[in-house]
Amino acid sequence: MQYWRSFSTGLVLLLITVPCMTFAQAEYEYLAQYSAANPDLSLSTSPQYPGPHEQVRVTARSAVGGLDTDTLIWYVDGKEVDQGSGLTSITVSTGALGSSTDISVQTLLGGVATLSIKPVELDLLWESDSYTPPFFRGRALPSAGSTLNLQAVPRFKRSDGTFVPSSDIIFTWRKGSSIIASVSGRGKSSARIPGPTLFGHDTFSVEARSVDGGFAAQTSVQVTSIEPILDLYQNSPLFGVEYHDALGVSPVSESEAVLHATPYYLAGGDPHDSGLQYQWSVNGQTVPTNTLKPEELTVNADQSDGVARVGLSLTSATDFFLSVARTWTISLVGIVGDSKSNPFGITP
Amino acid sequence: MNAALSALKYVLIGLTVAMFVGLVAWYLFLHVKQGAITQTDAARGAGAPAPVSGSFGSTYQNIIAGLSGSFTAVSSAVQSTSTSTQPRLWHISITPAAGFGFMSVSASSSPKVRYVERSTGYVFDADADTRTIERVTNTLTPQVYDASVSVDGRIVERTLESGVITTIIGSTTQTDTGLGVLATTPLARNISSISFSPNGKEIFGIVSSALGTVGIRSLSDGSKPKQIFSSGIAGWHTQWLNDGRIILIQNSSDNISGYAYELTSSGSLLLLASGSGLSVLPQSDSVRVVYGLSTQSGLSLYVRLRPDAPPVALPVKTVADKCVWLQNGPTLFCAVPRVAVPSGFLDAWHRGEVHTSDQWWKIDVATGNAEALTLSDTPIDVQGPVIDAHSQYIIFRNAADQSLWGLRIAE
Repeated sequence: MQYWRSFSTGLVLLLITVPCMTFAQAEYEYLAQYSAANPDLSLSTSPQYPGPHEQVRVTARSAVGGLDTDTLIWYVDGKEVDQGSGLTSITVSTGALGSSTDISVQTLLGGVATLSIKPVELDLLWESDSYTPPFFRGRALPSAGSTLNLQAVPRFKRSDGTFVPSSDIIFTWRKGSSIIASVSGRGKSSARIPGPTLFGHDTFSVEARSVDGGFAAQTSVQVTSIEPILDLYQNSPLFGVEYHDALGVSPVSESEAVLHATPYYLAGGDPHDSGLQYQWSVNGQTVPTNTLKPEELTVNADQSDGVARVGLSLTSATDFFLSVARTWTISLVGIVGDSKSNPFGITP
Repeated sequence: MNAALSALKYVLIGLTVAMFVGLVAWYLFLHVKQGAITQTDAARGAGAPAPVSGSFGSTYQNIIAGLSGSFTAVSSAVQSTSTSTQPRLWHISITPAAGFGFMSVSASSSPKVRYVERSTGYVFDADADTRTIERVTNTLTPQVYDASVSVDGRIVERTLESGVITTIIGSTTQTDTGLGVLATTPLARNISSISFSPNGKEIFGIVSSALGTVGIRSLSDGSKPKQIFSSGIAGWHTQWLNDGRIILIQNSSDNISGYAYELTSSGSLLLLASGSGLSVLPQSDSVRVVYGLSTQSGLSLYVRLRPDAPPVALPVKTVADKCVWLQNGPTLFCAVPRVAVPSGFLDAWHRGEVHTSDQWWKIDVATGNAEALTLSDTPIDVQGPVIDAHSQYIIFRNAADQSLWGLRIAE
């Protein structure tokens, strides 16, 4: 009897223990399989390189999947901020430059991923080497054949308040999707790259990474090529070229004037290039070009009021894409001021 | 016998009369000839004061003569009535001015404007209260395209030689003859932008060459130069604020991103503002910044009261270059185009293709309240306004003709 009681007790224990152990084994194997995949648990941000005081979306991903049904617990700077089943992303705000926001996520099954967000700034400045007159306060815009000057200004601020110098940053320059290796490298924060073609546009980008890998940023700009613009100014013997007042708006208060043409945004930057051809015309008639100053034309209304239709065509013997022309109606107001016959044959 | 004597008497009388008449005629002939000679000599300038002795100079007189159609003798000083009866808007000089600035005076003294005449490089001083203009120098520098004036009266003049910018800097020195000279020192060639330090003793300039663009700080005579900045970008213009900060603003263009920075003493760049068609006006001794944008929608103006504060749109649409801060406080004076300008205005304005007719506004950037000043309707395209140290006057140039204007803002 006693033997039978002991046998019954052992059998009951066995019937309880074996299923439990089997379940635990299956659970362990499941966990082992899932835990083995946890190194693929990763975090990504959008935007990829956030700036200071910016909203950032942080997303968790797993190569083996399963996060949609898993419970994720999110921590920001060590403090739990949210949790939920299938909660694969949260939104956080970055701090000021120099700050760091630590993000971590845990799954209920023990998966962990961490990320440290350090806000960065990267400016991309550009201009063209095209022609603009002295003292001009506008931007030199690109035309066909011009070269762009680009400058990257990174602001990678460490927690101690210092900035990573450009000499410790690797810059990778791209035109479109192509890396320009010749201007890329450590400390190469500025670059000269051929501009867009005639009537075209290109995207220029720069990626900056600190040599210690602690900071990274990327930015881009789209640049469009334009045609050069011809403007005409009076070259006064007293005041010089009057760049502040392009002709065509107000009359010239003299009967004789030296007209100075300025080809804004001319590729190559030199309006006196020997390959350039200035062709002037007055009232439809071609006039000889001053070989010493081809960009200038002297008109004389012979002491009477006159209206002249002045035309200029600018081409280049070396650049077949350059062809700019413009016509101005110039009113010359003579000092005498009487209404003699108009020597230009055009009535206003 | 008596008949002979009588005949002789008549002959003598006749000869006497004839001689008298002849002498009178000869006198009249000589008088007329002398008058003609005097006129000829006067036309050649004999007896006229030498150009050096005229306070305005022959260029000013010639232009006045050309504009008015008659020669007007101008005295060495133009007196006016008391300040309270004078109009607030003052046409300081109708001839183009290359540059201008306020000189340092005490709070109780009348603001003093110093400006450089573009055609001659002559330096003039103007008293804002009495509206007196006085020529200071006799040193001729033709075709001065740009000039700067420091608070202690130093002058920078920039001209063109074969298309290359040449820069000289100098101080005025008095002579025994009354008019002074501008003792100058040449600086580096191709200085694209230059500004004086707040006390006038230093200068900062942007110099471009085939090797790149650098920013050089030196004493005002050009000695002890020190490079504190380098860039792959050549198109900058500079401001040196009264609090010592050097500001670099990238040359702007419509719809194209631009940047403005504070240049630190170590040469690093701190971002001040960025945006399309950017123009910037930081306030000295303050963190306030006003900046303008030029986009497809036209012009807009914003203020940022603190570095971490979001920008606030101001109720006027203009370029920040047409604005000036009151020396202290959140008040801004802006010249605003009376007619809204279309897209693409900024580039056309820089090229001189368009000019605006502006109205002055007083804006409290803290509250956003704006008040238009009631002035004459004279069309003025305001350029480069500056304010005196005691916030009484603003001087500016009319971009259309480069003439110099003053505006009394103190009530």
